[in-house]
Amino acid sequence: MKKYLSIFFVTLLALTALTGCSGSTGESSGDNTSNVSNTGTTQAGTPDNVTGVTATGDSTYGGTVVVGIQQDIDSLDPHTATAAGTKEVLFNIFEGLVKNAPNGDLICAVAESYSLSEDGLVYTFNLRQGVKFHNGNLVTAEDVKYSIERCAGLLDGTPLVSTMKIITAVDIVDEKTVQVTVDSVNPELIYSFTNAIIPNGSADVEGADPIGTGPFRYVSYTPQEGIVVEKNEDYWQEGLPYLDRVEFKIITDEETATLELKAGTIQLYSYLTDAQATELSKTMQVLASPSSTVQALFLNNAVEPLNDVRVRQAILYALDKDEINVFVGGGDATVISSSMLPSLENFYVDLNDVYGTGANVDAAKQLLTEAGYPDGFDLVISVPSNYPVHMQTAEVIVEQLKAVGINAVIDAIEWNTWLSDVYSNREYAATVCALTGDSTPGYLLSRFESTSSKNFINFASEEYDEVYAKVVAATTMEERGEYYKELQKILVDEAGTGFTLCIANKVAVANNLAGYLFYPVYVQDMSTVYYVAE
Amino acid sequence: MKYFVKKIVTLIITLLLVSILAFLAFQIIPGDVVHSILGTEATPEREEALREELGLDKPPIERYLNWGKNVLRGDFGVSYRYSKNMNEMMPVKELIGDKLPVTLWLALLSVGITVLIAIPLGVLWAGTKNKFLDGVLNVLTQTSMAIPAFFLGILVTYLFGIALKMFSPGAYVSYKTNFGGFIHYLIFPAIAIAIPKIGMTARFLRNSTLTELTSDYVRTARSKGASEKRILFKHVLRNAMLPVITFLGMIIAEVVAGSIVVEQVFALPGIGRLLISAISTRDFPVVEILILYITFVVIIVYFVVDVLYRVLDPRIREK
Repeated sequence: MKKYLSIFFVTLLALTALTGCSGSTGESSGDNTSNVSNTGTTQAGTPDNVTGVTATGDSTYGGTVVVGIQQDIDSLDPHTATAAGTKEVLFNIFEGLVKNAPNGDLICAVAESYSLSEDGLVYTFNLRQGVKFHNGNLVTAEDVKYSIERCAGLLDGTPLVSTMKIITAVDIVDEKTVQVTVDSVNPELIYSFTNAIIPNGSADVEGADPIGTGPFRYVSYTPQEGIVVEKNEDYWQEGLPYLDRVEFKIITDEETATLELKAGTIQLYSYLTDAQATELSKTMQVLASPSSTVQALFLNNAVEPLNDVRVRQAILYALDKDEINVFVGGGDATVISSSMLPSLENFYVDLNDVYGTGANVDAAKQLLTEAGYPDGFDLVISVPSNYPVHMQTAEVIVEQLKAVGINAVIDAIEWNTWLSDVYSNREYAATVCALTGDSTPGYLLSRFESTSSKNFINFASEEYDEVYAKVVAATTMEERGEYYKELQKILVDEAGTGFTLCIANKVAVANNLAGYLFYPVYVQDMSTVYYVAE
Repeated sequence: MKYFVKKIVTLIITLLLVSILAFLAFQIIPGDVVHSILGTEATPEREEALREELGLDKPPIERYLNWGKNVLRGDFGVSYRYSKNMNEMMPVKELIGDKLPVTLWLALLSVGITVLIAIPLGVLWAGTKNKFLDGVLNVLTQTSMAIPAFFLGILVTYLFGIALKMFSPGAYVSYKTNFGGFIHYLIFPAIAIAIPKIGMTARFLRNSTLTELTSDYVRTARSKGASEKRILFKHVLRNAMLPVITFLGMIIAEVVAGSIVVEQVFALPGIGRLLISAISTRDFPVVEILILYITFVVIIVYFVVDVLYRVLDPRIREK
């Protein structure tokens, strides 16, 4: 994990104020292509106990890869798509002014470079010349203006990307320069410019196919079957992509996925369960990398008896995260205690010592006695049953809680019921689930501000809110970073929720494929994948 | 004539009741489509905007009546869940129309296999005097009925797919791109569906044949010196087939409505799988039409069975 480069780029940007991208883009576009992909697997930050390495050999162009995906596409519109499973596919079709890189940086995409005014309120993007949409048209300043205005809600008043609400104007300076004005400084806003640039007006053209500037162009989508993309011959990153065609095939069933991997009808499949990884690693490459999700036993801070901080602390003491790691993560997961991806090294604080990673039954019992529950209490843990990982974790937790006298039972519920009852209506006591982080460091912390609409655990800490207000006011990433560390400490001291693991993302890859890159965000980049010459 | 009118009125009333029940069920079950679409990214503003866009801000009765009016006009609406392109949702008609051939061909193949194997098997079984064969068939059919469908699916996949390599598991070919490949792939899920049905049908036919064999007319035929073969094929079979036809009707209705489990195991994009995912994402327009389709199919199949009965058995016609 040390190899994970953190987001130096933005910190650097914040310190030196103010220009971006020149360095990173030059490299990624100018570099010899085989170089990009060969460094790929090593750069990916695979943990020491990695179970496989991509085949080495000369890269070849052409070929088709079928990638198994677990969820159906929720929208073909990159601005309204919300499911992580959709975004990971659309990453191949669409690009923003900037885009995520495997090491956590941002590289320039549709923009060639950008600069930020000294007061932090005006972003100036210089557009890369010669970038073409999949329909053959060159990307113009009008297209960029339209796309950003659409995300920011300047077209019809509904912002599609909530962080972009602070944008007040998008001005075309000349045909290769666009200026974006915001009404308050937010050093993390740059991450939001990863949102797709689409042709001017295309969201309103009836029957329009999705058109972007990414390495692959959209061919077709069939509900329940999948989505097919083909090579974008005009892609601006020279030498990419390698493959002629990628088919994303929807496979919802774990058993079926294993069978298809064995039979060779799919060549790539990620988020393997531990059992699948063990079985498949006998015959194919299984790569691993820390995932972009944080799993936790979420506690509803507003219900009895969890509204008592001592009770929540007792539960945190009772958790044996090492055991969960062994049972559920195959021992490859990273044990965590706070709401931050460990891969974001500049912002993550290791708080595993506060309650320990093993169980501390005595401390838990004492706290329960102090809180007036010497004999424990009954607790219902509502778990979305479509996630075997969370179900298994909950089963382990039930046993661990039993040891301190808490009589927990699992209520297995459907994902949709979870979304409504647990997430939106907050009618639950405890749940096991994972939050998906993105490259914006503060993303996973913002939801615990007491008034946030995403604060589904009803976490209410004045101290947290105060620090969070400082975050919003902070104008540099450095400052924000310090506050983020403080926020994590408060969240842990208040025992807001029992974070458990950052589970490893294990990916099965056919033996003759190489170049697969891991990202600290939830994407599936097919542009660097190639067949190895025989 | 009166008979047909009565049947049609029953059909309409049933469809109406089923559509109301399905609508009510959707009001009662937890979870809502807006949460399903927006997931964990939901903000109150976007929720409200989406609710309005889908017409979910209107009272339930108004929504049902609007939906009903549109359906009567032949407009089945659009899916809440599946996109057609950048800015349009998939029309329900198109969505179901696309999946229906998969289920119908699967049904045809599995019923075909069932009939081809079960009928001769049942007759053979009823006619055999061989105690050993009787025992073997007894165990085999019992077992075939007892194995859960998903396990049978996996078993067929392993046997024909992985061990014998007769097909590539999961390599479903769309009927639009290669019809031959499509049918080839479908044969194996069809076998998985057919196995328990063969067991049941064969048992059923054997039992009804044995019952018929004890009837008075068989004794009469025997006393007139007719051979056992002639008795079985000329006299008994026609009568013994009657209850079997009802049974086959039930099987057809079942498979045409979509074999949910088998479609899942073989990754077939058919009606059954669509229904499951539409329910779990609360895709109301799709679920309603699918339920109406299934109801319609079941009623029509029973109706056909009823008519067949009348054709085959004059005694019923006269009543």
